[in-house]
Amino acid sequence: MNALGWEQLGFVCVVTAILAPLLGKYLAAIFRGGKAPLDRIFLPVERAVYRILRVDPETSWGWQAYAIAVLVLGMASTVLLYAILRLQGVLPLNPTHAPGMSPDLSFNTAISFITGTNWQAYEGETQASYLADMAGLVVAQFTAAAVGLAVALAVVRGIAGSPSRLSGNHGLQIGNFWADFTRSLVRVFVPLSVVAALVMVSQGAVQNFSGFAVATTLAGATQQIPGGPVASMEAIKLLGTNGGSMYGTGGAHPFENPTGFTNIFDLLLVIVLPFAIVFMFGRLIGNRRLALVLAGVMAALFLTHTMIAMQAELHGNSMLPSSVSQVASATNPGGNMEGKETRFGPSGSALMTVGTMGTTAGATDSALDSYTPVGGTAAFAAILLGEISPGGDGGGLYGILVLALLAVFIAGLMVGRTPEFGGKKIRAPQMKLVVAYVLTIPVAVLAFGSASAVLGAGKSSVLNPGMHGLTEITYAYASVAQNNGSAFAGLSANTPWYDITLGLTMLIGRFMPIILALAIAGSLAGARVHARTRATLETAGLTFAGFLTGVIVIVGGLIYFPMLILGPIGERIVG
Amino acid sequence: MRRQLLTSAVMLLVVTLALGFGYPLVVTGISQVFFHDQANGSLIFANGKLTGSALLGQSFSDSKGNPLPQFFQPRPSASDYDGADSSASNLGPANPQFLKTVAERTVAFRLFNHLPPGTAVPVDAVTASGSGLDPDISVQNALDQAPRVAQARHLPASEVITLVHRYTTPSQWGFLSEPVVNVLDINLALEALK
Repeated sequence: MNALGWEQLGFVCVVTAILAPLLGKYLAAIFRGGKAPLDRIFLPVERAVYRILRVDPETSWGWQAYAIAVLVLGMASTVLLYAILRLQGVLPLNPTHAPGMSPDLSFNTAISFITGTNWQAYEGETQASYLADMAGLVVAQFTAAAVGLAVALAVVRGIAGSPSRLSGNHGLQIGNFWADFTRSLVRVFVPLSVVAALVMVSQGAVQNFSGFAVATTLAGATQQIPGGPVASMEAIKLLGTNGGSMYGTGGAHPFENPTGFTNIFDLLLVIVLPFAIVFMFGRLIGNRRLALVLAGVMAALFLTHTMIAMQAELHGNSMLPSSVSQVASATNPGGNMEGKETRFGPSGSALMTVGTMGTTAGATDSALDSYTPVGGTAAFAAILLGEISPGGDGGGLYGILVLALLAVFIAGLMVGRTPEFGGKKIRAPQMKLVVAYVLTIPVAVLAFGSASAVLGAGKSSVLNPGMHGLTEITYAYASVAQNNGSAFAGLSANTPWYDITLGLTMLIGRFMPIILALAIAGSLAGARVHARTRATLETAGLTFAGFLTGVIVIVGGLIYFPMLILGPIGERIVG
Repeated sequence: MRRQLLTSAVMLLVVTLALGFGYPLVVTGISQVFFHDQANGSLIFANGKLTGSALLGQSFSDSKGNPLPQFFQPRPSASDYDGADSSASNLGPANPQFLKTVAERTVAFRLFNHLPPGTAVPVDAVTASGSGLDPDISVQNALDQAPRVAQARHLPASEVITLVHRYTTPSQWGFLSEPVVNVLDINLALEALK
């Protein structure tokens, strides 16, 4: 890494370390119940929503009711979004004349945004109308983010479990979905998105309804200049760890990510909130040391994959002719510049792109398909380790909590201590759910991935031959299963085979973990909190942090290692 | 279940109105008032005609696709600077097609800029960008092109090199971005010299 890279990474670390605990404190105040900051502004809005919905925010539900509400809302939103995408050609606000999407593409895209995946098999500029972007996709980005945070809250209540510490928790009950959902939107996602969007516009991100402007270039040709409500989508795309953009190349496009400042700002929008949610967890369960341990593990993983990628991309592509100058200097960004923007250079590109790979955003400012094998593997690894560095909004927290339960159980067996988490005993019923959680995504990825590598319908979409092609395929399934949505975009994924199988993978990858995490929460909600004894395994310490990291790496590594050998690692060795 | 479905439907109506329409309209309204130029694409007008955007690269080739020597040339683009179709090449780093293309571009860059064979060529000059609309080139890329531009315009090379330095955008805050030269900006400046 060079000075520029170190300075950018250092800046990101410092800002995150300052903002995440503060935001976590604010979140804890909102969701603890009782008085919260800015009640005077937000409380009337919330009450109005509850009145329209006719729900009582004070009633608390069991995990099954909570899960059903999540699923029903997901189903209803998918149907609505599917209809908008099919009909966008005849609906208003379509200055770019985007035709209605085909049934399989609409199916894929609707699921993609409802699940927060934001896999985009369509061309942003020409295949989605402004109406579909605003009223369909952006709404889905808000709801996906709020659902993630709501589920995390329910899981926290299940683990915390003592009624005095949290509102809405009485015995087996884990909260009210509509209240959590509304509060997340009104007090977190909407106000932060408005501010973030305006910051982006001030730097040059566009925000209009003009359609294409036609320019006559200096050389005398014509160029279509796109428009659209870009910044407003960009803000929730990042804050909500969604990742879907108005334009095909997302964060590489100068109208979405115009400057070096917005590049780093975008990354911060993605990662600060998932870290803050972990700090919120610490405050809500009254164990801030444990939150620090979890955040520390997340940060260690984040730094590892990001720094490896930054170094690899700066080092450049060893297969280019030696007369191509890839050495960074004051006048040359150097490095592997294929698929990267000059203003970001190799360090800024890898920092932003691979930095968001450990979240479910998968927002890229450069073409992953053209990354060096090592840089691409770092991005891939961040996804395969389960999107917990620092993960999606909410999803990062419940993801690492499930792995922490697994780690506690394994550690407990190894040293002969009672496996306890947050004072609650972890027993067979919880462990069955944990194992199901851990295995759900790999099974979907490897089953669909290998089918695509064998079947003609899968193979015909591959752009790059050989090992890189296998990476393109398996990356696609891993990315959508983890609701990341970034792509090795050489894969032509808008075919019925990929639209449908990837759509199914997204559904499995989003809702199975949610159901299982809620079930775990439900099974712990009624459990008795035990006082700490000398036999209790200490979870709020450095030893457990190291052990948890090991469990994460071994679980992710062993499941996917054969596939990585055949894909990117093989490419590195042969190349 | 039916109760949840009804609540979901009402909630979807509320969020679609508030977040699908209210939110983007509010952001657009504020942006159009306070950041009018940026919100509309940082458009550049020359002689009253729309010439392009300060943020989007454009092609400086003739109608046959040959680069015009009197202009600084942008980076290769996977979409040929089509504003309606941003794209990257997505070619893998070991893809034979990609390696062949880069080798060809390297030779062509030297030839076009009258550089002796074997001269090092800055990497951004022979690789396609992430968006296909990269407005910038590296400073080294611009310096390598300056003598050729000067020759085509019958200007002293030193004058064009001075122009490159004047139109170098320094790193934002000293570390947030790479120093770059905006190709449309510097070409407009060249045109203004006439």
